[in-house]
Amino acid sequence: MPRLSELLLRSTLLARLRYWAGRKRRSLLKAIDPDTPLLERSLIRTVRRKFPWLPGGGDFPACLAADAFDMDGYFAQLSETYRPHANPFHYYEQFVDVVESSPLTAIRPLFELFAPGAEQRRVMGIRHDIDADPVTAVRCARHLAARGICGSFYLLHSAPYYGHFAHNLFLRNPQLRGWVMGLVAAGCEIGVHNDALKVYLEWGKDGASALETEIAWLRMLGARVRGTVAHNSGPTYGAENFEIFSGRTLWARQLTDRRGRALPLDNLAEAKLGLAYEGTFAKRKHRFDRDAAERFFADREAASVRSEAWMRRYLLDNPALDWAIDYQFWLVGKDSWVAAGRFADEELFEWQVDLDRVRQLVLRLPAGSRTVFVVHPEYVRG
Amino acid sequence: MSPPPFFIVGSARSGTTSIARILGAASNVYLLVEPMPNLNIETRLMMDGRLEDPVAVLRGTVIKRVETGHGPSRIYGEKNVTLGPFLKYLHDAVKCKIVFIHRDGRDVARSMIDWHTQKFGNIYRECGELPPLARPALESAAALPVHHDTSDYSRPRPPVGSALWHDWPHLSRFEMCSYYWSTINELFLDQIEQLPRESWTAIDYTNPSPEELLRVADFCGLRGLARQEVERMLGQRINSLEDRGVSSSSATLQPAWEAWDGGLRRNFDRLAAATMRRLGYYRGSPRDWAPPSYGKWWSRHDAGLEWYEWMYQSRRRMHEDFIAWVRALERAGQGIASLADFGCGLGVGYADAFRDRRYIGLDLSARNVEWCRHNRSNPLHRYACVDFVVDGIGETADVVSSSGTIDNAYDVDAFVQSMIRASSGWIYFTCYRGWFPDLREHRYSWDEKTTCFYNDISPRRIRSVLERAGCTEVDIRPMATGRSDVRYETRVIARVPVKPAHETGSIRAAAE
Repeated sequence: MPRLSELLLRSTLLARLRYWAGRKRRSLLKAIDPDTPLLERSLIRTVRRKFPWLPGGGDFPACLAADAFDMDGYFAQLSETYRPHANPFHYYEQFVDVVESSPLTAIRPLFELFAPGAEQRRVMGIRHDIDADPVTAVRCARHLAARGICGSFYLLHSAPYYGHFAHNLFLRNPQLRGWVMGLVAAGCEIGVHNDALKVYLEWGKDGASALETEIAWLRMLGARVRGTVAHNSGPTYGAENFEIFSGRTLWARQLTDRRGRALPLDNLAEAKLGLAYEGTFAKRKHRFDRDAAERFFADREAASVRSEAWMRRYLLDNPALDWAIDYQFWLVGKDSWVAAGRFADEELFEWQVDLDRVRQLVLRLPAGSRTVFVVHPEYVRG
Repeated sequence: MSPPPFFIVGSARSGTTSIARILGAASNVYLLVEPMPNLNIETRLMMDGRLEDPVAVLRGTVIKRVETGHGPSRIYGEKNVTLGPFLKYLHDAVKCKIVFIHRDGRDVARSMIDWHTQKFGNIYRECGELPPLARPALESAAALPVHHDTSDYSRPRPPVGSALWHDWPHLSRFEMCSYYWSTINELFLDQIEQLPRESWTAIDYTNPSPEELLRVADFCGLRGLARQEVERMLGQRINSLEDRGVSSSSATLQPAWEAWDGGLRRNFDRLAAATMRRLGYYRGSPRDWAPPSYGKWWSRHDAGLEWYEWMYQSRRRMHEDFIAWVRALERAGQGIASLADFGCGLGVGYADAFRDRRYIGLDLSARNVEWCRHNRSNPLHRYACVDFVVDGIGETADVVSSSGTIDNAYDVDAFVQSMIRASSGWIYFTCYRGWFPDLREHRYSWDEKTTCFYNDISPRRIRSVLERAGCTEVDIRPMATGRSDVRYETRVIARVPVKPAHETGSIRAAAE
């Protein structure tokens, strides 16, 4: 079974071949949507100036979209991949019941997690990292809307469902706009699942600029982007994705991309981008042990949400990070959660607990605590 | 003794703000429109059965406002659409009066959709439908996260586990709005029916008159409202989209119900017909979809024989096809002793073609029927002025036909069903406006000037109606007209199911 990225690449190449074989060269620039933001127009024009042989840019031209973004194939692959781990959607509804029905609870979007006014309550946020399944994400947002709950949803700009680079041009999936509009209409919080380091390291492109562009594009569609959430964890790239933001670097070090160019960590100013928070709520550990941190970040093999030892280390005994939030509940499979956190010297770590146990734990959360539930929509797509 | 406080209640988009502003112009009133806290959250909790102490909620909010605002020299009034589940408690606590405003649900559903697409973008935010939103609506929706959107939260949702609850995520916004209107009005009706009759009044705001407004003002004990001023304010269309500074082209607006297609009509009726009946907007017949002026043109307008002859000639090929089809049936051994013609006009063509058998001509126009009675003297023929869609003809004929009348009917499906009921053998009808094979639903278009509909008929919908009624040998096809304006008309033929003996009575027998 080919991997998703291979499927995508194959279909893109096919589309290009068909294009060059069957059609005259033409400038698709003329067909830029009038709503295309200035930043994007300028990007497209620059690319067209430098690479006049490119067929087009921006949102993928509709004539090629069906081939370039084989979403039927993508979702078929997604189903296959997540079948062993995915819960039925009803499970998500039950989960929301659990969170909503616990007394003295305030469910807030992440941008309001630390807002005053709920000191005597258990403040909770529901974070949706849309790694793979935007369709289920929209479904989640709609379910929350009917309950008056504002969840936080982060679109992964490096995901195959989102877009990909063709040469220097980033092409967005034409269906993406509809998913974003679905989220906007449902009134949820929309943010970017920051994967700038992948853009640098695996695609050899400017990750910071990619992040900036996608924030601008989402805002152009009406989304009020107030925050990002770093995708993956430190061991994946040797740094956390949030380290590209000024003041968020964990320790000074030299990371390079495939061509040996230094990664510009500590580079982007969140305030200038209109970002108010980083939604992992991670911060440099108070008692930072650089050797331990380097060892932890270097051990890529061990990093897995399916490993109890690694999850404990990541969420509770992280040598590089402390958390500004008190508790995290991660849905990691079929009726399977990881719960971790500390509050007033009380420590919590429970591995592979079911929803009933989550209910019990939620009821025990102390007043004044802040908890984030991390849900990847692909785990509730059944 | 000063009159009691009063509350103006009703579903959103029913005119509650309008009446509140008008009554607020009285000299002895202190009237608040949706004062805060407005119980948006509590009303939903109450409807969902999750609010433990409604009286405590009222004490901390509404009752406090009454105590502050009501006095010997002024009457406290409040308009709030969220008070539905609290009315009994409120009345028990402050002995208030209730003004219940209602409006035709079809107008409300349309207005809610426009409110959503043009202004706020936040009606039933869970709806999967993503219509293009006007810029103000998109910006408004994007700026209002759902947890702060207590207005949308306040709207009712189906009870968990109910049949509608399962379907809810798949409903269109139009259906959700229809559900809203029905549920909220049922709630208000249930509540006010528990109150003493003298403590509430209702007003239909579909076409409000100054007199009705003044009656309500009098009910509330308000003084100082002049009829002229009330009329002027009614004319301002308070709280309409225009009043809220939105100028929209009609192309982007939800059509008025007279132009809804068959699917919208069915969906609305599925969710709201019972409430429409309870509020008196429906009488429980297909005529519920006929505007009050339907058919007036025919009774006022004397087209004359010449016009009907011209009409006959202009569609001559269609008429000849029908006559030939009847003859062919006879040649095949099927005796056609009687025919009924829905929409006979002046009987042009058919009175002659069927002079040798029973022919009953039915028309909505008394003038036409009267003319036929005076000028068509065949003793085998009879003419009657009836609304054949709802009234029926009281007997059956071997063939029931209609030529180009269904195109102007107020309910196409009901028209067909009425033909089936009146027939003991066959139905045959043509649709003069054309052949529309791609239509999933009948497309209605109302013209107030000629007081009739102009319908594009969906062949697949007609087939579905016929087959569900048990008809066989259904033949629906385009018929070439030989004309350039409408190249093809739609022709429908079907054999109706055999009726039980007590339902049949031949026209011949009736005539004898």
